[in-house]
Amino acid sequence: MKLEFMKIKEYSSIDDFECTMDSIFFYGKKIDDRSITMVDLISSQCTHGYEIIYLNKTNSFKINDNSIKFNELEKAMRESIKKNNIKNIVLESTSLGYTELLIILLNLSKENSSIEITILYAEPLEYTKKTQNELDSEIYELSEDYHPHKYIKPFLLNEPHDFTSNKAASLISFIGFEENRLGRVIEKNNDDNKYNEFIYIMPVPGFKFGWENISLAKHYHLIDNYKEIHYAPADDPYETYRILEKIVENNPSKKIVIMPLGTKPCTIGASIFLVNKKNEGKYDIATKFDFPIKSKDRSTGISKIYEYRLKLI
Amino acid sequence: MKKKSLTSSFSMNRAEETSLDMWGEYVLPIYYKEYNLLQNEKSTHITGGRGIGKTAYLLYHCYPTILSPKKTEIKDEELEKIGLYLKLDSELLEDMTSAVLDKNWIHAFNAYIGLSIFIELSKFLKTFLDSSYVNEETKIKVREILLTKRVVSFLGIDKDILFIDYEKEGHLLRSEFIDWLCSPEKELPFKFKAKEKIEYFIKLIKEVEIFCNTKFHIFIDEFEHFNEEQQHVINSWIKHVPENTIYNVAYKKYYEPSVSTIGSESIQPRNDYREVNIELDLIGEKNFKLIASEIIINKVQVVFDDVYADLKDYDLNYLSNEKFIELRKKDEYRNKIDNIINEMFPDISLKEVAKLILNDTLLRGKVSTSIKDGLGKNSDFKVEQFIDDTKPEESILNAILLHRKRINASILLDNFTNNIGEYAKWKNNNLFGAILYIYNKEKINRRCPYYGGFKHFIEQSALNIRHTLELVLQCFIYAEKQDNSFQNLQDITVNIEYQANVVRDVSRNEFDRKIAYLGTYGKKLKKIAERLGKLFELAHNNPAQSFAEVNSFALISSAEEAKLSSEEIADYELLFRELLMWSVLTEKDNTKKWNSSQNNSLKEYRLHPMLSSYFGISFRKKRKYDFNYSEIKTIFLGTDVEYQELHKRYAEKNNNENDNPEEITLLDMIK
Repeated sequence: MKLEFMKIKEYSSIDDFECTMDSIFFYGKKIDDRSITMVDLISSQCTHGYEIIYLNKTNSFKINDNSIKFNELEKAMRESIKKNNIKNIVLESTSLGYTELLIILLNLSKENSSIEITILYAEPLEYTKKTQNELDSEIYELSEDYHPHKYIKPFLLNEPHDFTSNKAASLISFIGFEENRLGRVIEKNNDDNKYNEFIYIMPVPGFKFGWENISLAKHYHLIDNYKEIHYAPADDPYETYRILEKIVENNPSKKIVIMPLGTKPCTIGASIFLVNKKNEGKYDIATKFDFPIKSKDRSTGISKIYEYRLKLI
Repeated sequence: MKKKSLTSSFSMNRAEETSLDMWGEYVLPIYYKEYNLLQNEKSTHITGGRGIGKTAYLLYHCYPTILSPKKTEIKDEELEKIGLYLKLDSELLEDMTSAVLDKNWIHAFNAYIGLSIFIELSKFLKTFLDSSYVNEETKIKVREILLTKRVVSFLGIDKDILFIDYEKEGHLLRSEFIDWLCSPEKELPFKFKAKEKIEYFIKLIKEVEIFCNTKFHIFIDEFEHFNEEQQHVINSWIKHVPENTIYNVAYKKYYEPSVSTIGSESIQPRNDYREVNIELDLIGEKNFKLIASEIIINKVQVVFDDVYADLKDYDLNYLSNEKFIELRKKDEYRNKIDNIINEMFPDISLKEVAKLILNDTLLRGKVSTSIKDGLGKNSDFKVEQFIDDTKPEESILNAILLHRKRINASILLDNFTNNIGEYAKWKNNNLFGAILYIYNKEKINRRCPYYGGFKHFIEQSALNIRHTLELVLQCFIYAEKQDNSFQNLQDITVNIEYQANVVRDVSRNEFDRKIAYLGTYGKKLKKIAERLGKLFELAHNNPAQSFAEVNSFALISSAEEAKLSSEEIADYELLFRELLMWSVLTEKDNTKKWNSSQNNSLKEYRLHPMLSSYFGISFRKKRKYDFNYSEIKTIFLGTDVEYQELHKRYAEKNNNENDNPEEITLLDMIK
């Protein structure tokens, strides 16, 4: 089935946010003010909460301390939904990682029942700045480390992307605050030369006035071709989806790899896009990720809260 | 007449971006004859540093080059050894492990390699048909090689197909393979032993008479991206060599692959494989300049569709031809190449730089200030007495020598006036340091021109051809921006100022925009490079230059070594290997132990000289710090506060050495 946006609601602060959903919800690691507050708040309203974390090394998930194989998650979700006659599912995306979000959405898209999906996201008031000193020009330290790039299955290209296939792909990369993440992709491409085209999606406007300038300033040296920049509001998965659709429709025969290295709402838009396109099966689109280890207390405070409602049609 | 622009030709500086056919493009290394990979009867491990041209070297041995349409004739004996190049999708390999796929991983891995090589074999046959090989009868036989239904049934193909038509089928099978990877709980559509099947397919090719003695060399590139289990499989194939196929692997220098096989044996150098290091064995440090020059000259000749008059006598594509290697070793030839490249990128002597300084009001002012500071309260002399436009080198040296406590101003002045022969040793050891000191003091963007000049490009590239090509490309871009577009080969020349500016840009780019993105630990590598650079900078900014041109370090062992926890040692060793693997540091034997009472490491490490201009330090191989393990731990793993303490200690140490120069005398430090 296809995931479709129904409604986007914005709450100007946590006090305005009402959470009265009788449903189950998924969340990820609680690492800063907003993820802790959001998860605790939703926990008090929802019947069942599941902490879900993707384990990179074994390609499996940990759900409330139980391990489950990557491909068993679909079945487990299906059984649980059926058994408990679930109609609403909440995804707390401030804490959820990209892989978890993408795969949960994919699994839900395979359900035939009419489930309503609510994705919640809390904007930070501030991202934590690293004390800037002479030795360290990095201001924002949102991730401690990254892993080697890897595909997220089943979002692979139709054929192994190697010397034998001999066909370069386009990379669509979302841009955030950490230029290292894009830098690593570009530098790696110097060795394996998989992409002959880089398409960037900048978060404009940013969450806060002026934040888009930070993204641009940190990435300008990596961007060769400013014609290949597109803009999606930092908080708008719907617009993100629309832009991705436009890019892909203009390059129907190309291999495309999407790397959401930008804001979470953009990542949500990209996830929904990937799920729908996978189900359509029309294009050759993959996604890769660098699985960052997020820094603890990477942000402080909560600004706006967003509620993105989706339905399956 | 220009065919395309110089800048676009040089911006494509990686083998992968040009065609797979290396004939006429690949400049054969001088020692190639001993390292023709196809002559080996056993496997080869090929290693090379970042940017040395590893891929191009491997591709030179593969069928698109052997059967190049640029060759007018293909001899029968050239068909006795055929190379196939294989570079797998590293991101796909990541998940082909027992941890992810359980027992099926081995089938998946075999299928991936097998399906890829079958395609390469089919492409080889097609390339052969398109080649200039003359015997049509043979070509007909090749066209008819059949993969019968029985042979390919293990792939789920239920009809006979011509081998040359396999490619299309092969791509579909690889797609099926991807589908399975996404749902590994399903039955794998094909389970087969790749080595045996490849061997069998090759036997079918060998039935055509021309190939009856042919051996196939499979070159697996980027072996560092294979995990240990995967390496064990390939190692087993290396250990038990099949009749017609030889498996070779290539990886970055300093990477250490596993030597285990899937059995209990391990593979051993010499017995099972031979090692070839591209830098050391094939090129040799002394020949790097020649090869880099030839690559550049070759490229500009292609752009202008013209040949330098001095090179008109040589065959087209002579650089790729083994026959001409002996000629390229001769001085007469080398001089021609040198002349052409020096014309393009002229250099400058230190003496000329010294003159430039004295002719530049601001820089001359810095010299005067430094002399004044050196004289201090000594009012017996005037600054002007120590500057003489007819003695530029000596005048610049005065600016630092007067800061040395041991040097008497009156004797120095006497030598300066009457006996400048006394300056000879200082010119050797201190002139570049003194010049850098003056430029580093200058804050208004003057670049020391000595970083320019082709021979200095070479020194700063430190065997990384990508660096040399980047410097050349940026020079051409710079010239274009200045409206200085070259109309013909003889026009190409870039002045020394441009060159020095370009070096700084490339150097800054390398530091700011490259290191942090290298491999998995880039951010940490950048921090270490910055910490080292700043310590070297300290020595360079010491007014007395008592310890000039420090850009390397050695390790001295001490009791502190034992204090490092095993975790710290592991972290440190990992980072060290990464620094070498990505050439942030370069390694050489520790040739000089100026303090023999200390237990120095056998190796010394230099911050890659491409970073020199950024830090304003020397790119020449001169002097080193000796770090003990506690210091190196701080540099590698310490917090910013710990490092600042160390930096402060070194700053003080530098100052103290001015007061007490007897501690290290100049002669002690001459290498």
